[in-house]
Amino acid sequence: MKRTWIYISVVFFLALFQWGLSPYANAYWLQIINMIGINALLAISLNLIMGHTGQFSLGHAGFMALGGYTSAAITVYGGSWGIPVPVLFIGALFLGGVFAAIVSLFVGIPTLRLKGDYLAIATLGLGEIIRVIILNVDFVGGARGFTDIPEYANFFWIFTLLLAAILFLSRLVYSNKGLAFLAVRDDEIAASSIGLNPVKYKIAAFVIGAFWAGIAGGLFAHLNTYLHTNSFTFLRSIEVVAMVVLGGMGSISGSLLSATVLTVLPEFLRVASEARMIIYALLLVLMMILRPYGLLGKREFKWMKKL
Amino acid sequence: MAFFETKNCSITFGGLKALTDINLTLNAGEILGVIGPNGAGKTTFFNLITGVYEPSDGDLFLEGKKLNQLSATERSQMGIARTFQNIRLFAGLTVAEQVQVASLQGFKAGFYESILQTKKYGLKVDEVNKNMAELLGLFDLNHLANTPAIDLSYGDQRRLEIVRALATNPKLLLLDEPAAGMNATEKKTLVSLIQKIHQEFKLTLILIEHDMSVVMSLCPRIVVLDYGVAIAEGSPAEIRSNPKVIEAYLGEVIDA
Repeated sequence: MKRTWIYISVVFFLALFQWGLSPYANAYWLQIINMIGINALLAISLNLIMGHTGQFSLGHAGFMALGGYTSAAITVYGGSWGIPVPVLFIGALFLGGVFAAIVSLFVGIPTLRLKGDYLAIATLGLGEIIRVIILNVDFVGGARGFTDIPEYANFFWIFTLLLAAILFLSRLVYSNKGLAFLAVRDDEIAASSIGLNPVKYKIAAFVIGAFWAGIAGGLFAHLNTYLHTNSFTFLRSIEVVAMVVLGGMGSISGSLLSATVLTVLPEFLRVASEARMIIYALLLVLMMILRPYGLLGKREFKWMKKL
Repeated sequence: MAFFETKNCSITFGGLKALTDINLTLNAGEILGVIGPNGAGKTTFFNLITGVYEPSDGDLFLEGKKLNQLSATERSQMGIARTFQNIRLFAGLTVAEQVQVASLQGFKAGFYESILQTKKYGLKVDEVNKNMAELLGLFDLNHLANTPAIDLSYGDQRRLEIVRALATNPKLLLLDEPAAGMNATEKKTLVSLIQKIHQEFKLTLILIEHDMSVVMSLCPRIVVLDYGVAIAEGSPAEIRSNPKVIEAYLGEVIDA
């Protein structure tokens, strides 16, 4: 019960900041903080697939796009249904996540029998297929991009949902059930010898990861009010992979930390103008040399396992 | 009805016959030793029983139920557990976690109960932990519960694999060279431990082992494999004096 009160008060303070302070905050930095939240959501959801279950997936931008476009389509075309805005928005986000999860289920069943490199290629292809299909659907703007999406997402919603995702994923992974994901990652043969079905757990991780990526996509859509498939190329997937690897595979805390670092870093590097992305890349290389297992390795902050 | 049975089981890899027409019957509670030279097909035989390989020919039965089409996962759920010759512990998990994850089959609390952390979930966790402490205590591994399993000594890792297999609550336990890499004292303790768990958990055991003192003191019945063929079956005394076995595996006794 004590924990529940802590979570409620955190949400209360998030609301206080949103409606009390944010009108006075620097809009530029507020936008960056919001992007940290969305990237963190992407990173911890991919961390479940890559870090905890050991499946190398390059399709995360695709799932993000599915969630983003689905939820945006609902709020844009459903605006006239007379549903109260918060209900419409949360419902749209949820359905976006569910749609991404359903697609990942249908794709996961055949592809998760593949291992390592093969799975990476298959999910890479999947991400691109999703992108190209959306590019050709006129209903959601096609090549022009999807405009006039209502600006429903804000600091409060992004961080409340991030909190929910952290709770969900941490409890999942650090419960007794969650040990099964780690077991499958470490040794599939031994995992099946103790009665766990590796394919089942790999698919579960994939679907849950896709769900939260879809939610992140929905938040992204309703924050920027505009979607274009160029935001969801495989480079976006690589960016999320970099966050997971840099933070430490299998560490939720690490993913949160590196999502923050990798979102803020390019902004600080704006002073370097043209050399910006070169320095960014160099810093990435340097960090991986100095800390080959990522910022935190497999370690977690102490409280992370007790949420 | 026999507890466990293989009927004319063969496994072929391409042109290679790894196992040929294995016929074996085990009664509940028996301890069977499997010996033979390297490459004789002993581990392949274990892989056949646990479902890593499907038989190319023949049938397997556990308590009258045909196993052929069942996956390794399903066979484990039916009560077949094993250890591995090349230790396969989960590298990222602690000693305690290896046992907890193996108890998941009996862990009926579902997915949403773990997320919501309901009362029922808490009770289940307590139950699993109590059971785990007992098992680890039996093998004298309790003080290492929070150590990463890969940091254990070789002998401790082998014993932890047995604990992990026991945590699945098996009826038939297959031990693949449990005494490998142990010194004489450790082997003696292991033999009495195996006898103890055999009694306490009412297990049927199949044991692959190269150390003859271990095999002879544990197994009333022994099967000898050579090039995938069961060349002899019988009591330790019969095996020791069987000329075929001496030629293929044991070697002649030289009078000093």
